[in-house]
Amino acid sequence: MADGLVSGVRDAAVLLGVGVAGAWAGVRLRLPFGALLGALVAVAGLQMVTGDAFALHGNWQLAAQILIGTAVGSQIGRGLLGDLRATVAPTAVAVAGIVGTGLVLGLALGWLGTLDRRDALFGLLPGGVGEMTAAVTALGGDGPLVAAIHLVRLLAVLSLLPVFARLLLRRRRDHRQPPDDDRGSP
Amino acid sequence: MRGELASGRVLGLLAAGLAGGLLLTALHVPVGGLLGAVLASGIVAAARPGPALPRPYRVLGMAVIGTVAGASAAAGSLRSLVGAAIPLAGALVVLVAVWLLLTWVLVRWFGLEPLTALYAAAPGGLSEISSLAVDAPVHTRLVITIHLARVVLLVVAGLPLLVWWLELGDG
Repeated sequence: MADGLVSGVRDAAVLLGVGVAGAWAGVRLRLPFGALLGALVAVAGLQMVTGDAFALHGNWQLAAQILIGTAVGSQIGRGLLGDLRATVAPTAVAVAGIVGTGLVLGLALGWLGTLDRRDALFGLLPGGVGEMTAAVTALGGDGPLVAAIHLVRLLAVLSLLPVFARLLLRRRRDHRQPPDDDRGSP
Repeated sequence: MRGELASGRVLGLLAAGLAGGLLLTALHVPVGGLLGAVLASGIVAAARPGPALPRPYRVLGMAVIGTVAGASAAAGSLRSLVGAAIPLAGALVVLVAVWLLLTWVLVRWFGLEPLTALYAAAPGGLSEISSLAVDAPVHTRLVITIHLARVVLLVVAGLPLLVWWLELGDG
């Protein structure tokens, strides 16, 4: 039992040390979900190189869930509730649309058999990546795969957002500009 | 900064999150740690207005969950992603199309300014979209409200329903 405890502490120290270093690098490199991605890549790399030599006790997963959950919950305040009351209709439509689409797509990919349905749903539901990864890992799903799917989605959206924004701004500018034949006419 | 990380409010939020997370876990609620922490800290935050948990705590949580996920990563994860590349690409195309449709709906039905609607309907991460919205000529508070509502709703209501449905299918 003492050996198990010592090796458990050793494994946790190694994995968390590498994870925190990876997270720091991810944040410094300004990667999307930098802390999560950096830690995941660093630790996954270590495990692949050492042949899964280390194991982490389930309590660490619980600790992460509690930290992430507290961060989310702490943002629920009277300010948010007040804002929601003022904008309930567009908020409801936007949330229903985004979440509904993710749900349908996740179900479709699961039904097609392309991915395990649990991974497909948690990968395509647009919740926070930390929250979805924590949830699917707790349920025995493929956490790294779910994180990777969220990363791909985010990269696509962040690439397209400035393009669409520029098009909208150009359209707005064109609408405000008078036609050429009116300019300077007496 | 040290004072902010260990202020009374922060410790209160962490204590509430810990208590809620441990309680739901003890009751064998799936993903109880996450749900319990959100609910308990949400109640405290709503009852006593104040700043949210400082960012370093969320970053630490993300680092730990990244470590947990990485520790269980296998070559199979990468194979699954590569194997699902085409259907995932198709799903992304649909997602982008719905994003543009939602933008149109928000503008036409609710009179939102187009750029605000675009940011509000973007299926991106809360932190990323919020950071971009701060620097963009948009109604920042509305954009952040919508994205925060999405995440909270999914975690508080969507996750339990999803877990229940998945377990129903497995049973």
